[in-house]
Parts: sequence; structure tokens; C-alpha cells
Amino acid sequence: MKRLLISIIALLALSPMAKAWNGPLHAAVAEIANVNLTPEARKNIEAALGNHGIVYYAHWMDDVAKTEGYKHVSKWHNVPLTAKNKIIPAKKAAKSKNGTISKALAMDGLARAIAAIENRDAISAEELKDNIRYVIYIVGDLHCPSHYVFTDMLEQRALKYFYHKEKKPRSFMRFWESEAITSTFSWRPSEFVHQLNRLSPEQIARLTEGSVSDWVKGNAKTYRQIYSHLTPNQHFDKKQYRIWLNNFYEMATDQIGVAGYRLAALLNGLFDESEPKKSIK
Amino acid sequence: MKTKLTILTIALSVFAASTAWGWGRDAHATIAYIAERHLTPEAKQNIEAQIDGRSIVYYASWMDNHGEEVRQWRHSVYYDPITHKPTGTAYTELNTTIEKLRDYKSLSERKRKEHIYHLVHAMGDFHCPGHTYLLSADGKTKVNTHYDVVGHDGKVTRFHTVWDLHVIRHFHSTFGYMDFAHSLDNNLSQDYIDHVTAGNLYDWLCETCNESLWIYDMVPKKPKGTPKAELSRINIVQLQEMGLLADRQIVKAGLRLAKVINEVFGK
Repeated sequence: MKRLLISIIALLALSPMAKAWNGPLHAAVAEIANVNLTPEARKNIEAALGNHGIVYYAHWMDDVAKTEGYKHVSKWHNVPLTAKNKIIPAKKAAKSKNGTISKALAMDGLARAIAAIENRDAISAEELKDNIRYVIYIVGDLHCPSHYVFTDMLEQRALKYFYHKEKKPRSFMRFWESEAITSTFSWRPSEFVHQLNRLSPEQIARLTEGSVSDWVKGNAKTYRQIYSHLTPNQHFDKKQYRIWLNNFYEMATDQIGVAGYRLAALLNGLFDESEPKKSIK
Repeated sequence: MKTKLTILTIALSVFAASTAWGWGRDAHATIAYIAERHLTPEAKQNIEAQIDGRSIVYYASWMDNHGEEVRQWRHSVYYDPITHKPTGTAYTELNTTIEKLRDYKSLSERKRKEHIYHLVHAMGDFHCPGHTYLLSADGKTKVNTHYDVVGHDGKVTRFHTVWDLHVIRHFHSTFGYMDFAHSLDNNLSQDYIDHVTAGNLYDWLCETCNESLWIYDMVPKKPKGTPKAELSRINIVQLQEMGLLADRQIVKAGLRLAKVINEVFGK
């Protein structure tokens, strides 16, 4: 029993909790998506959401993750990838003995949600509402670097660092929940729109082209690089920390905009027949 | 309970780490946003073209964040109460930056950007009363805001921190820069805007210095090592008075920043 307990503790230590962008950052993603929805898509989505906008439900999936009937969504945060940035299929990932990999089923969750919305005549209004809310949340997570489980770099997910005089180390994965951005910008969700919703139609088209898998593979190339900026248990004084933060904030902040544009493209394809559909693969 | 305490400790340390710079980032962002609202379409388009299509607000605190990586400009002004003139290199540096930007097309991309970041940030700092320091009558002693006071919350703090943080955060803690700018830059008359933007950088500096002198009378410096009980105390009424001065200065800084950018990039 004691050995089992130690194993569980060790596993938890090696597998940081799958936490996403925090609430305001998910709201920022949804705000940017919201202003990029077509009128038709917005009308249909808001009708399905009980006249709420998508921002209202930006963080809903995380809020319900521990409630009865929704516990399965706790596995829909992360994506497992090979050393060559190939997405590991859900069936294979789920069989992994490593909990970090077997619980990294965000692509499966998103595929199920999209399939359910595409066949919405076969589901209830409440199920449709849930699946829209899954899409809103998961697309945000797919643009957060800590949600990429690089199976060749699993130990890096446990990286920790020490800030200033703090005796307890901070988790590098948790850093990506918000501090990567909020250490530099204290914007409200609507202010993210002012800052990031500036691309031309051509730039948006380039950013949103391809499938969701293409987006993830493209993101993976960038996100893999974050680990090269930290050594285990690195110590930072205040000045060093500021310089270190400067490696990340621009990339991290821009991902909020990228996620917003892509979420809009995905939802437009699902709820406006005149818009191109986005596929998972 | 322990978990809650840990979360609180981390949250506080993140908060402390993220607020330990200049006239805080909220005020800088607000100043830049007020300026942006008063840019001509040509000036807005031209300046954003130099900074990768971003808003000037994005770079409002760049100088604080990247100060260790680039040459540090001095953003504090020393005011001589005898001659009524500001001294020090900060004025010269900002003026030089503005002059160089007038010919921005001849600058390298890196220099062009750095000068823009400097302008956007320094115009804010130059309007911050906490950055206006006094010279003694003999011109030797510089009285700045780096001394201890007892804040309105009863805690010993640097007077500088009162300006960096308390005067804004206490009254506008729920505001983002857009809320703050909309509440301050609300139906300003053209007469007021013309009045505020008349003159030049030197005039604006003199005005800021003159209007900020009273903060040293209100909260006088006590000798180093003064026990807490004898330190100058800031009560809520004084904080309110300082908050009103801060609000006025933020509006002026924004309008004047817009004037400079319109002149430089509006052609």
C-alpha cells in the first residue's frame, strides 16, 4: 500500500496537472473569435447556447471537469506528440502506461465534439450546447505550449525554477497557464482584441488554412523550443527573471490571437454553410 | 489550508514581481491608449507600420521590461526650485529621441523601434510626479521619492511605490487600460486639448515639476532609520489628492504624446 502511495505521488510529481490558459486568457481567445464570427455563424451559435455569446462559456469546460457526467473532459487538455511532432492517435495514446500520455486526448475530444456538431440533428439541444462549449475551450488549449506532451521530452514537463528568494520552486508548466503573458501584460479580454485582432484577411486566411492537425503540428515546432530556455531548478534574481520572461511573452501572447482566429474559422465552418469546413485531419 | 497559503504566497510573489517597475504598467498603457485615440489616421498608420503593425499600447512598458538588454535611459527629472528649471539628462535624451524620429526613415529598423518605445514610455514617466525629483537650494542634494513612508494601509513602503502602484491601483483596481482611458478621456473639449498640448517638451516638463512640488510638502522625507511611528503617514484623503493629480497627469501625457506622434508620423 505504502509503495503504491509512493508511486502515485511520484507519478503526480512527474506529471504536472494538465492546466490550461487561465480563465481570462480563455475569455481573450473567445473574444477574438467572437469578433471574427460571421453574422450567420454567430446567430446560430448563440441560439444553440441559449442566447449567450461564446465568451460567456470560454472557461466552462474546465469549470465542469470535476462534476458528475463531465469527468471525461479532464483528459481533453493535452496532445501527445512524437519526436518528429507527429500527433499520437488517441487509441494508441490511451493505451500508454504513462499517465501523462494516456490522458492527453484533446484531439480526440475535439474530434468527437466536431462530429457531434456536424450531426446535430441526432443529438439533443443540451448535447449540442455542451459540444460547442468543448470546442471553444479545447481550441484555446491547443495554442498553449504546456499542452503539448512531447513524448521524447517527458522529463522536461517536470522542470521547475526558483524565483528570487522563494524557497519553493515554481513549475514551468504552470508558468504557461498565465504568467508567461500576465507578467508583462495585464490586459482585459476585450483589450486582447484591441491588441491582437489586427490581421488582414489574407493574413487570417494563411493562419487558418489547413486542418486542425496541421495547426497542431505547426504549433508543436514552435512550442518544443520553450524547453531550451530553462535548466533544471534554475535560480533567477528579479533582473534575470525579467530578461528570461522576455523570451516568451510575445510568442505566448500572440498565441491567444492565433487561437481566436482559428476558433472562429472552425465555428464559422460548422455554423455557416457558406464558410469552408475545417477538418481534424 | 496549507494549499491555500501556498497559492496565496505564489500569487503575491507574482503580483510583487509584476508591479515593481516605473509608473506602473496600467498607467503607461492608459497613457498610450489615450494618445492612440488622438492620433490622426496617417500618424497611426505610419507609426504602427514601424512597430510590426502593433498598437503603441503594446510597447508602453517595453522600456521597463527590456531595460536590462538595451541602454537605459534616465526617466527622472531634477527640478531646481530656485531657478524653476528642470535639469539632468532625461530631458535632453527624450528631446534627442524626438528629433531623431523626425527623420525616422533614415534610422535602422532597430533604432527606429527603440526610439518609438522610448518616446511612448518616457512621455509617461515625465508626467509622473514620482519621477520629478527636487534639487536642494545648493544644487547638491537630490530629493527623490525613494524614502520610506507609512502608506494608507499602515504598512511601511517607499514613497516611490505609492506613485508606482498605490495611487492607481487603489482607486482603479478593476480597470483595464481601456476602461481607465475612457473614464479620463471623456468628452474633453478642444479648448482643453489645445491648452494642454500648447508649448513644447520643455514647457511640459516645467509644468509637471511645478504641479508636483506639493507632494514633498505633503509627505516630507524623514531621516534614514526613522522608526515607523515617526515616519510620514499617508491617509486616504492625501492618497485621493495624489490620485487626482495622477489622473490629470495621465491625460496630459496621453494628449502630449499624441501631439508629438502626430507631428512626427502624421506627414
